[in-house]
Amino acid sequence: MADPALILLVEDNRMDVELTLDAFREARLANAIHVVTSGQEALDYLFGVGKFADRQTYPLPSLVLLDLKMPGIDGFEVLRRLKCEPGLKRLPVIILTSSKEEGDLALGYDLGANSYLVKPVSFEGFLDVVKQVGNYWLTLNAEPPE
Amino acid sequence: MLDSCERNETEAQLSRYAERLSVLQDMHRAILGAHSPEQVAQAVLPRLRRLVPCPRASVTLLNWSSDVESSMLAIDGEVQFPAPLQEGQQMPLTALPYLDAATFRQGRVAIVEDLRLFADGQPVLQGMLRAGVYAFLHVPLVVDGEVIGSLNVAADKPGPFSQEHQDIVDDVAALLAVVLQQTWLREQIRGYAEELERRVAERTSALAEHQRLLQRMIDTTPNVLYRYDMPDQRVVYMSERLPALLGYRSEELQRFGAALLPTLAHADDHQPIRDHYQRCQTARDGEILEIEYRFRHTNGEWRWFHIRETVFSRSPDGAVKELLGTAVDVTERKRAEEQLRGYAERLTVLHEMDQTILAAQSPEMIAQAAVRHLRRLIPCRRAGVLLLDFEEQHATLLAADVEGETGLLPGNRFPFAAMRLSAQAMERLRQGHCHEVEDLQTLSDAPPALQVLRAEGIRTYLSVPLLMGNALIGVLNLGRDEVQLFSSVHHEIVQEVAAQLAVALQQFRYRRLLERYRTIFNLSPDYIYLTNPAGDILDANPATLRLMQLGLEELHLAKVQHFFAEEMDEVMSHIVSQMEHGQIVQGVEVEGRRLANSVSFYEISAAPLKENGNKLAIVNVARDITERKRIEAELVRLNETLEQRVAERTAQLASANQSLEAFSYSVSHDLRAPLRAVSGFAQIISRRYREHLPSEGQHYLENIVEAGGRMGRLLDDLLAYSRLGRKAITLHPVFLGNIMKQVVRDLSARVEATQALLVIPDDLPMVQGDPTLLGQIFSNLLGNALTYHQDNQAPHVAVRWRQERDCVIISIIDNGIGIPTQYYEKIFQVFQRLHGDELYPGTGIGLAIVKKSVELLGGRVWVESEEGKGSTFSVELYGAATRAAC
Repeated sequence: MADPALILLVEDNRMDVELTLDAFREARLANAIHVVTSGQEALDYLFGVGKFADRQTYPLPSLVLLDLKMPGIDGFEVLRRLKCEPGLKRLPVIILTSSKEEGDLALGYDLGANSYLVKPVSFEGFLDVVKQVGNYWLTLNAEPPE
Repeated sequence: MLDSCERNETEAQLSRYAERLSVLQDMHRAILGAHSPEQVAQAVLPRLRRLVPCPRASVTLLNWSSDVESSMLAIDGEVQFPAPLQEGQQMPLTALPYLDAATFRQGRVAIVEDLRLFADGQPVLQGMLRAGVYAFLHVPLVVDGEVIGSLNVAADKPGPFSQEHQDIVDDVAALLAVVLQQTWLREQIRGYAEELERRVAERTSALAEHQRLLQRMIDTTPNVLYRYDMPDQRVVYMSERLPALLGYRSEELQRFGAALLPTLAHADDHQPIRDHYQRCQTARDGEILEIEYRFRHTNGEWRWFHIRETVFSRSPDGAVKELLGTAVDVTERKRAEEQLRGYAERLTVLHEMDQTILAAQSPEMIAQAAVRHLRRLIPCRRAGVLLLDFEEQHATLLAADVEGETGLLPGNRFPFAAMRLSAQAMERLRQGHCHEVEDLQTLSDAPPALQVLRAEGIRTYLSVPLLMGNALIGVLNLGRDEVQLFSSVHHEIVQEVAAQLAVALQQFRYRRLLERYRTIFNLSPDYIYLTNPAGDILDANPATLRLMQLGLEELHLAKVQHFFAEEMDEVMSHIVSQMEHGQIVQGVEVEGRRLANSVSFYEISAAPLKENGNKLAIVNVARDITERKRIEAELVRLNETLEQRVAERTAQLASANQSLEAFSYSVSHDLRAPLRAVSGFAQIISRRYREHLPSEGQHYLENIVEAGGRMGRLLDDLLAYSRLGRKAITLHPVFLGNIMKQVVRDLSARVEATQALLVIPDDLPMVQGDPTLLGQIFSNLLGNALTYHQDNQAPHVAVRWRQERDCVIISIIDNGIGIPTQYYEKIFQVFQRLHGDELYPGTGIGLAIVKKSVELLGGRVWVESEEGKGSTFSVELYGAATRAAC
């Protein structure tokens, strides 16, 4: 694993994106993070559709950080389509959301999410989450085969 | 010289005489030894045959009356004749045709020399001939010129009897006649003597018997016989009866002498007695003079005698010397007469008493009438009626009739104790027995009530129970000045009056009761009426009459069926069948007959009433429930709309609630993102660029960070709270121990920070619950216990639990700051806080979450607290053994 793995961050909230990216920086994780700001865009990216057809430029990520609440195609829909796609269904998806709803949790796991993280309100908390994710998912966890 | 032949003849004759003499002597001797005619004849006949040889000789006796009959007295001889010529047999004289009865009776001898001449057609003679007898000599036996029989000698050949033989037979017949007469006379005399003796004995014994009878009559007759000497004024003879009647011995009475009458006769009778003897002085012989007076018996009783006297003897100058008298004890008769008079008087008085009682207007008047009349029948100092109230243990003097002053007056009340009637005495009264004290003065330990009477001079005191059925309601008391038990007649009268009084009092009660019920009957707004099983109305109260628009006189025309709807027939037969089983009917609803389109309803209750000899009557009470039915219907309608409205409202509320929850969820959720931005970037600035800001800027930045943190917690709690509303709950058994362990683990940092002492039992039970809710409940409660502690002391928190029926109560006990009583309810509401966030951080949602969670589990939560000492939060949940209630 020469290059740090690519992370696809699916997040419609600009400020959350900034905070996430800042937290990654602060945590000194060198991963490349590609940000998409809607469900549709995330699907396009992952399925290599439209402007993301070129896998060279937009390679498949090692990890998807997925927000749930998004206008239009929401995180669950993204997850559902992903897990139905043989080429994509092993891709680790971490739900990163403000919702602690049991229903959301249940549905998320049911649809095949690998992890469910609640966005802490505080930056320290956020930082902590990001560090843990980096440690666990990008370092300890063995990637699924291609 | 005598001719030798002649001499021989003479010698032979002499020797025959000698023999004749010797035989006759022998005959005489034998006769002397004979005692009866038969023995005489038996002694004579064989000896005759020695002198006059013949085959047969016999003696027959003759009865000259009517048909002449002969009866065979004795026979001697060798030949046997057939009947009726045997000993003891009778035969008419006509059987011997050769014998002329008339000449024989005159004493002429009858001789037949040849029987054969007469035997033709004569069986008796033929029988003789067969026996070898051919001739017969019959010599009459003459006594005092009367032929009484015949001596008969038979010959075995025909021919005449020699003169010598005839002479001998004549002599013997004469002798026999004399001897027989003697014998008969002797027998007759002996018979007479015997008869005489027997008669004498009979007479003697009859006399003796008569004597005894007389004596017994004299001794046993109620009549006393005596002789009275007028001049000496003393009884000279008396039959045994008199002393016995007076209880004396005979000689004791004799000893009284002239003092007898003055001593023993009743003083009131002395003058009449004197008058009586005055009259006797001039009595004629055979005249009977009568008088009645009293003698005193030794036992003190007075005995009445009826005396009848007559002159028995006179002195030479003609004055009356002795009187013969009979005295009859008529005490019983006198008593009976007196009793009869008593009864008549009693009847009159009792009748008067009845009249008075009937007219009496109160129990007091009834009782007063009774005692007043009672004293007329039984002379005594006082008579009173005491009513006994067993509930109050009080007695009330209902009435009293008293001669003279008394301290016990009608209306006086005193406790049972003042009478000190023993339970035994009470029980005896209850059984109808009287209680009598012979002398109050000698009564030791007299109860207070009796002490009063004793002081007033009452001596003998009688109490008679007043019984109503089996219940003792009072006593009727009599008191007299003399020491003398009341007689049996008096007892009888008092008991009679007591019985009558009890009946009258009971009747009065019934009358009053009847009036009371009649008033209720008359005033009742309910319709009360009496029917027979067919529904004919027998009686009805005014309310019913008004309803039915009937007069009392028209009642007999009315049937209940006229006033109720058709179903009444069914109702009536239901009621009758219930009545016949002795059961009452309650609350049967019946519709009234429709009148001018108005509907009415009645509720009927009925009870059987046996009257007029088992004929069933039914007491009915009908209540107009039309208004009630209307209200009920109204209520039902209201209820239905209410339910509908409640359902609508609930649906509205549920939907409002849902949208509210959805709203609060999305609000808190949507607020989170901007908050996170505010908070996040403020923190980033604070971390990286703090030193570039002036101190004021730094402070404001910290304010932003702090406010952001608080808002975050608030949002978290709000979310948790709103989530509860949407949570689907399924109760299942949960180990409380596991929940508690998790909670403690989550709180461990704070426990450490506050140096708290947490005491949690190892044996926490299983409850019906949901792990998430249970976690929220106990993490909030324990969290609070750690938060609200006193400044100067570390929190001590104990968890305890107990089982109560099918529930488990878990208590969290802290030594914290406590909660004022008025906030016990309030603290469980959302956003209710008692302290500023600076002092005790919190969102005001925790206990609301606890309350909502507990309620979702079907339990309850409450707090008990003392300010400054600590609080105990208790949660009641269903035990695991209990099936979930929701």
